[in-house]
Amino acid sequence: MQIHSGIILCLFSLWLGGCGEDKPSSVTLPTVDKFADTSTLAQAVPREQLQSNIPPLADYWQRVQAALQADPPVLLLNDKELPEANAQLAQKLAVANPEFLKFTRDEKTNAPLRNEIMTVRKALPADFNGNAGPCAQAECWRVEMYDHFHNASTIAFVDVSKQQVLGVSRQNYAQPDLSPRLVELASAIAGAAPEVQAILQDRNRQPDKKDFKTALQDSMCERSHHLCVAPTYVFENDALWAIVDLTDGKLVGTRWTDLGSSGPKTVVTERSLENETTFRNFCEKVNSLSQSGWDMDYVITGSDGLQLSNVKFNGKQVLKNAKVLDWHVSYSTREGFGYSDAIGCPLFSAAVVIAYNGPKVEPIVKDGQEVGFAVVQDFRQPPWPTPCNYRYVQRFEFYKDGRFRVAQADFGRGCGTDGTYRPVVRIDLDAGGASSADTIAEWNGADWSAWDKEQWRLQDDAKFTNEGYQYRVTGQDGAGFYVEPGRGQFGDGGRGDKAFTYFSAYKPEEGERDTVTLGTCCNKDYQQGPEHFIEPAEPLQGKDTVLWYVPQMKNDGNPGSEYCWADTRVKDGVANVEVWPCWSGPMFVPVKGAS
Amino acid sequence: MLVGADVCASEGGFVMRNVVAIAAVGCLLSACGEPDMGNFKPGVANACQAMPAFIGKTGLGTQVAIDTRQRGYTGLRLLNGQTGQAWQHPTWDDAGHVGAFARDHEGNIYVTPAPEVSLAENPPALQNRIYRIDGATGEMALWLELPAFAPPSAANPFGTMGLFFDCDTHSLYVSSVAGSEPRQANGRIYRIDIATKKVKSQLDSVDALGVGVFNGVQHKRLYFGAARSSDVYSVALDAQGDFAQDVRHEFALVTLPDGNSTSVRKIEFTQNRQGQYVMQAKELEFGFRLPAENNPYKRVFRFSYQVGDDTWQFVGAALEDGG
Repeated sequence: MQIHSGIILCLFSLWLGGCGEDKPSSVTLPTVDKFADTSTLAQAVPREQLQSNIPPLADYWQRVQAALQADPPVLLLNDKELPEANAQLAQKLAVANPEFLKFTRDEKTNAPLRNEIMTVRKALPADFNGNAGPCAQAECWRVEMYDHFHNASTIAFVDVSKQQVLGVSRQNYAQPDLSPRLVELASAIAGAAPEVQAILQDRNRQPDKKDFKTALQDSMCERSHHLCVAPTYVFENDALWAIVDLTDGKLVGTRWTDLGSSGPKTVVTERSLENETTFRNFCEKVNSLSQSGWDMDYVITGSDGLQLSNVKFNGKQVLKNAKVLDWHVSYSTREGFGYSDAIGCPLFSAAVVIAYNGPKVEPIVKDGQEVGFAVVQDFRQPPWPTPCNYRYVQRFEFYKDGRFRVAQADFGRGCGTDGTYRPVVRIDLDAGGASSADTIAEWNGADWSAWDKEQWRLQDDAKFTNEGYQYRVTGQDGAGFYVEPGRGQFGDGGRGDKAFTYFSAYKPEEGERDTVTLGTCCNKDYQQGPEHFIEPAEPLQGKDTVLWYVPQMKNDGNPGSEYCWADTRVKDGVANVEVWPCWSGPMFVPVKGAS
Repeated sequence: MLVGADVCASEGGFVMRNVVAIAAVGCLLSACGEPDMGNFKPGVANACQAMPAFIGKTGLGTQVAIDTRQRGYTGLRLLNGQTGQAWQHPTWDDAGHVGAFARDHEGNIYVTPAPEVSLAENPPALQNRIYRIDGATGEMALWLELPAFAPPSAANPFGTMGLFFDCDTHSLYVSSVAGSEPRQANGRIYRIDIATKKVKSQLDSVDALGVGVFNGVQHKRLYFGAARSSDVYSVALDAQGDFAQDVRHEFALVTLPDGNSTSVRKIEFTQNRQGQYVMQAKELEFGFRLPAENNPYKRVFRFSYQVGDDTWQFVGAALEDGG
């Protein structure tokens, strides 16, 4: 009986094993990297300081500057780097060839571009894809030059015996083999970075972090289009990648990767570092800031940009939160054409214009005195500044005297020169303290006139006090703020806001949460989205109120009067994006005499 | 399977003829565990795609392309590349912005919605769907709402992504990333039998964008581009087109010469004039956020099929718009 049962069980088991899994439903793939949380972006360090700390970088930079002054503007390999006479001759013949030099200067301005000979070596059969052409009969040398401006390589094949350039080819978006000079420089930049030193010099290292080898891995800077490479520090079980930008001569960031055998190799790049670090540090958690009497929380939202909340001055809450829900962009010559751009997190979001890094805090200096600080957040569409791509910046200014400003700018470039930008800004003031009732008054030319119900106003139709105030928002204790719209007075290049303002009674469902989209791109009137919250108009008396502010900026691409615009220019031989931002946003000035 | 083996081992004392008999039956039954991988003619698996009959009624002629660039219009349209004439059925914007499409052997066109720039016309709740344009009438209607680990949301507004119709098994393969989270891949690849509109097989916990089937020298494989990296994987398909266990890593765009860290959003197979099979992998910077489609640097990466070892060899890359 026992044997009989066993036979049946065996047969059943074999049947299950043989036939039961003919429709597998799941296969495990390496989808989530356990080291994704180790990405960091390097702290910005001034170029002069970097050169001072890294002598090879200073030396290299001097040679770059000298090459930019030379004719042709090409940084050559010197005799030490290229000891063989024929190799030197090949280099010399290549840089005398007009075709080889075709893209070494800017087409429009003739400004020298940053070009650099990377390698000079004998041509190999693999260089020709089976057809060596004239090189089949000669001793050919291959000379490769990298063009930092175009992120492209030019390759010449040179017959040194006949002193002839046999052919020239060009590869766009191509990263070259690095010269020994740049290999050493990359290692020097990585090794000198405090972020890397902190790891390598850690005295309390884990056993598997005692020893390491160094290696050089391919990497890339997809967003800056710079020449980047990754010196790596290889430990027993994992490796530390340091992404080095050789065009700028700086560390981009670091990240650990697994050396395990399972799954494809992880390649760390500028884009992955920026996305992972920004998402983890600024989207997945709320940060806090305390400075100059101000306290606040901040987070990058999924689609409403950088949101500041619980903003206090000297312990008293003045702003529940402030953010940009959308950027409406319309084009006057194309009816109905435009975009409603959401700004926000680089991963897992409804944003189309994204943060590459977290907010920066910078001092506000006036007449040599530090009078406050600004919290600045940059958002870009990755191909910016190519046409139909956008860059937006939020700037929250906080002054030691209690004033603050909620500002934002477009940095171009958009789809044409007939564009109008309308950011939809939500500002939930706490004029009289947290969530208390606000009293709204508008200057009528002679006095403050109270608003008793929800409504909107166009700045062009408004009157202003001598100080430039349009509204006064006060709490029950009389404390609060004057609202001073932008009329070109803030010294930031802004040409006036021409803003629609709306005051609505606070309702949590009206834009307080992350709002995917509000209003359409292309309305030219007050119907920008917030009108939904004031129609039909409700009483404002005794209510906590929300200010909606929608400035309007017309762009301009004409030389000399650019506005909301960006253009790529040559600077130090590399591509430099010049911007003409159009800043907008009101200043909030404490009501004098308030308690 | 392991349970069965353990039980068998504990019964080691019974007589030899019983062992032989059981082993024979067991081996016979175990053969069921080797899936029937079919015997498909090596080559392109979607050559049967038919021209939709309704195109003849549009007046555009037959030299038309399905245009989903969506510049100045929403959804898809037909475009005569020579005359510049375009035509759109009134229902073709019903899904909002669209992404992938695939034609079947009867000229029906399957389409996935795909949010672009804004969610106004692509609310997350409606993204894990497949629409179908009737080959005879040209009318587009919802064809199938797919089950998902979790519905799309503002934090991941995507659902269905890639589509491919396999002529041998009349299967529609569709990838979906609905419900995927930053630290958890919850996407799926489905095989749908188009006759019954039923999901017949699915690959779980896979976030994929582009999908494409190719009949290799060994068997049929589905290739798919990972949504979270530049990797392209393939999974073997059996005679019915269902997913087998054999998953392999094919290549990564990032490790190619002058490659990129983008994902592969579309995979196409063709045969060139020399008779060589070519895979084209089109890239997209994807981060589970709304894509920036105005990217002049987008490239298509080309590979040629190596019959000897059933692999794909990188040939080169070119700008997608031909610039």
